[in-house]
Amino acid sequence: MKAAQNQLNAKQSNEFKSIMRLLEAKDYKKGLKNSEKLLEQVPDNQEVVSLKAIFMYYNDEHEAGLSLAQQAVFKNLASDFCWHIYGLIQKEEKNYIQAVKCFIQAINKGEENLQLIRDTANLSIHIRDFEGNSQLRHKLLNSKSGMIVNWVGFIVSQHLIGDYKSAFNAIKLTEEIIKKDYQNPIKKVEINEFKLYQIQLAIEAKELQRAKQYINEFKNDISDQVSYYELQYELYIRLGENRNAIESVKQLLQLQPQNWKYYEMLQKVDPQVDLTIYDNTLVQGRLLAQQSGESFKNSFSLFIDPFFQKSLPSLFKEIKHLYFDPYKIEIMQKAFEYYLNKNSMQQLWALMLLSQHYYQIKDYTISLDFINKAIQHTTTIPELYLIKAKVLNKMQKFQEAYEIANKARLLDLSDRYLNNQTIKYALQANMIYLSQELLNLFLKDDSNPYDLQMIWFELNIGKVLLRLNYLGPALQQFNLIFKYFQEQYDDQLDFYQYSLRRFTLRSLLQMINAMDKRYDSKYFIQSAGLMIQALERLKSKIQEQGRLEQKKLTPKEKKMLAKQQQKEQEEKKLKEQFSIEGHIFSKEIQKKYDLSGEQLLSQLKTSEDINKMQNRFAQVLIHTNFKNKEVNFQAFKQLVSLYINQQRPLLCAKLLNKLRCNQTEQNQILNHKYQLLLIQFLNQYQGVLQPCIKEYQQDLIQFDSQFWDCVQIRSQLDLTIKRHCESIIKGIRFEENLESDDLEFLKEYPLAKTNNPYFVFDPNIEWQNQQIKEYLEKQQTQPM
Amino acid sequence: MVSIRRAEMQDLQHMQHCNLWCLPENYTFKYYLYHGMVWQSLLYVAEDINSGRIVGYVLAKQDEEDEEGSKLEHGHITSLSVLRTHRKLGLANKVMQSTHRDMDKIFESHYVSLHVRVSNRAALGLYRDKLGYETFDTEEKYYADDENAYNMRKWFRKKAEKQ
Repeated sequence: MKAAQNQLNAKQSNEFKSIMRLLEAKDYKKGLKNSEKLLEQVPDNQEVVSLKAIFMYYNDEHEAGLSLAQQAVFKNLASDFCWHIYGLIQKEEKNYIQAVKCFIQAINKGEENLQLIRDTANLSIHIRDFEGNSQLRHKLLNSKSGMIVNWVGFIVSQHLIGDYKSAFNAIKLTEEIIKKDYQNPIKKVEINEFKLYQIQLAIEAKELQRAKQYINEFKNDISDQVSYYELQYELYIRLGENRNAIESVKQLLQLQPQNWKYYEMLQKVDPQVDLTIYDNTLVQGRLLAQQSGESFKNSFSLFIDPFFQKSLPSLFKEIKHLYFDPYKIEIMQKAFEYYLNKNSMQQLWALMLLSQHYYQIKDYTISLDFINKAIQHTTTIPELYLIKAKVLNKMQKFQEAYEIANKARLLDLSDRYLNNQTIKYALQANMIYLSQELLNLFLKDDSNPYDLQMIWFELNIGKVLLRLNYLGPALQQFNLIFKYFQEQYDDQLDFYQYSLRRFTLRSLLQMINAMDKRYDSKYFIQSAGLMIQALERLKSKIQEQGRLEQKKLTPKEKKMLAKQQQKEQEEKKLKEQFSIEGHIFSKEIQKKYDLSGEQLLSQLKTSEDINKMQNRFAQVLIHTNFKNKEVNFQAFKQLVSLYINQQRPLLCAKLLNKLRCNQTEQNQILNHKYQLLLIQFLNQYQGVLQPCIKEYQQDLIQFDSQFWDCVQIRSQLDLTIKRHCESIIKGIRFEENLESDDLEFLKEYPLAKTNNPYFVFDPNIEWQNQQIKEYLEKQQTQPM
Repeated sequence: MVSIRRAEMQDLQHMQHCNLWCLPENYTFKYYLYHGMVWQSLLYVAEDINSGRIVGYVLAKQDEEDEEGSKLEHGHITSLSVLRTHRKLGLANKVMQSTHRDMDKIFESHYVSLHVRVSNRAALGLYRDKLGYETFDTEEKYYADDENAYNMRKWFRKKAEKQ
């Protein structure tokens, strides 16, 4: 900045300084005005241009401000100030990699600016440039070696690049400084954290003897016993000192007797350990899984009896894990039936449990029968209605399911769980308007589910909007979920430095790891798959429209086009009254979050735009590692046509592996079809990467017939998929006139003819009007 | 079957989810991250082992000064809830006991405080009768719907012993 001011006279220099103060005070309007005024006097001074640029940016002229700042830099590459300003704007734009590059230029070209160095170090961690961070922390330390926080920052930076030796040396010196700093003694809890960190570092560095030394030396300084013994266990495991490891776990079990992980840790070092000495329901419940026959029968009856005596409705959650073993099912059933002849309350729970039991073994008719009996017995327990709604939902009776869930909700209007469940069932029954009114009951004043990051709601409403083919709004809901995960990542920014001051270094490292894996989430994976599917539909729609507009239309087609345009006009008018994606929100909120998807659609006008957007999601999705195979499969299958159309053999191979890894009994037939498509593509691929994918190429006919020899066809969908596979192998289009009322079928073949009232592919204006009418009627008759 | 353990960073968004399914007082992710980054040892979750879901949690913090501004290290319960499907299993009690212990042993808190709706009988039963909280004060219109709150405290160290 000094260089900049050298070109200004004294008066202008002062003006420059005062404009800088306006920037710090965030007085952007005045700042823009004054910097423009100053610029009139010195139009070639690029520093002043930069100032104007950043004020433009903060006055909502993002593009213009960014571009002006870039111009200023290119006209004065030697100016640290120009680079700094450009970097700040890049940072605001979330172009963090660019921002770091700009800041490094500013650092190298100007006088020492410790705040800038520190900010750049933090930003370097944010873009995971640990080497860069390390160099900058080194600089900070050299400049201000009296500040403990600089030492801590340096230690962590060395840890992050794996230079443990340097980290330990720095720790030694840091501790000496801490000891001598009587002015600012660090707190006990901070010493505690620092010591725990050192033990963890030693274990990570594989310096196990050092870790052992620390475990002994630091014991009195460490007040966090849970962490202490957990680290101790880790250490003894690696040293192979099993007996000591057992002692550590025993200490942990005294602290947290209901942490199942500790029992697993115990079993790991001593597979023969007798867990029955731990007298609590957690262990008892888990051990039931290992028993069978007569002994299981007795233990199980003993286990469930206290629940019946104390009237606890959550019993089923405690024994659900036992259903993996088919031999236990009949025993459990009889154990529940025993209570049918006991006192009134126990009868009720028996009926409820039997309903849950039959639900679990997929006998929905009998399950419904039992829950109806339970409700007849006692009509005032919300849990019973929720169970009934769940069963009805499985039987695809969505309207009924909603009505029953609503009954539960009405029994306790202050319970948010009941409200949320009712919303879910309302959405399943296409009652979008109603579901939002229900949501509104728990929203205060001007709050909305988007400010509150309610991704469960965004996902569920997105699913319905997509099922009804409201592409714009659906796309935006999935997009908002993606944004949530990006926001999560950016929330880290303030904590890189703050954690150093508070010595919460282990939390910092855990945060960095957790954030790098944030996409391993069912919300992201589901929404990414649906996003790609929705974009594919958008592409077809645009291509179809393009075709219609280009070629000479027949009178019939002209009529169709006119009808479509009229429909769009009507919908627009209806929207102004009752937007389906957010009628309960103000116009400002609807615009802010682009609930209609208009802004998003404006970026997706061509097939190229859409491909780009699909790839943004695909790139993240393909690298996720989530534990639920069903969720994974449903999303990954959307990538098949994407990668085949883009001719990406390596990605196809990776995808093929993903599909294989996520095969389950439930999805195996559908999974096979997609694998077939991928293998067919890889078989036909002739490009330069052929040697890489050779191992995936195989005889399609053999692969297919071998598969069908081993599976049972259980539904119309299974049969249809088999015929589809045959078409794929023959290389002919699968043009069968499909017809089905089953929702699972329609999910896979949405263009099939159907009488299923919940699958309204492309609702017309009459349908929407009908929805509004019903919703308004319900508002008048039902208490909310 | 529910396991009670310390929260890890990857649990934070699931605590947020649980909160959105239980209470009308909600927070953005950054607030959870703030607690996790400064007082991770006080955060506990109840995890349903079968489904892997977080069905309950306690979000807690520390404060160096009390309401009158004098130096008195104490803990504070920011938020506590358990999903309706897992009630009456003693989960709230267990996560609270864990965080209490760590407030006492790690942070050397003199007391822990929290706010609760005056009409919430179930919560009052837990705090007053099972966990040993006393009512310290009533704050008018504390909640967004104008309901009053009891400001409750549970002492770890007797008042006479405090510095």
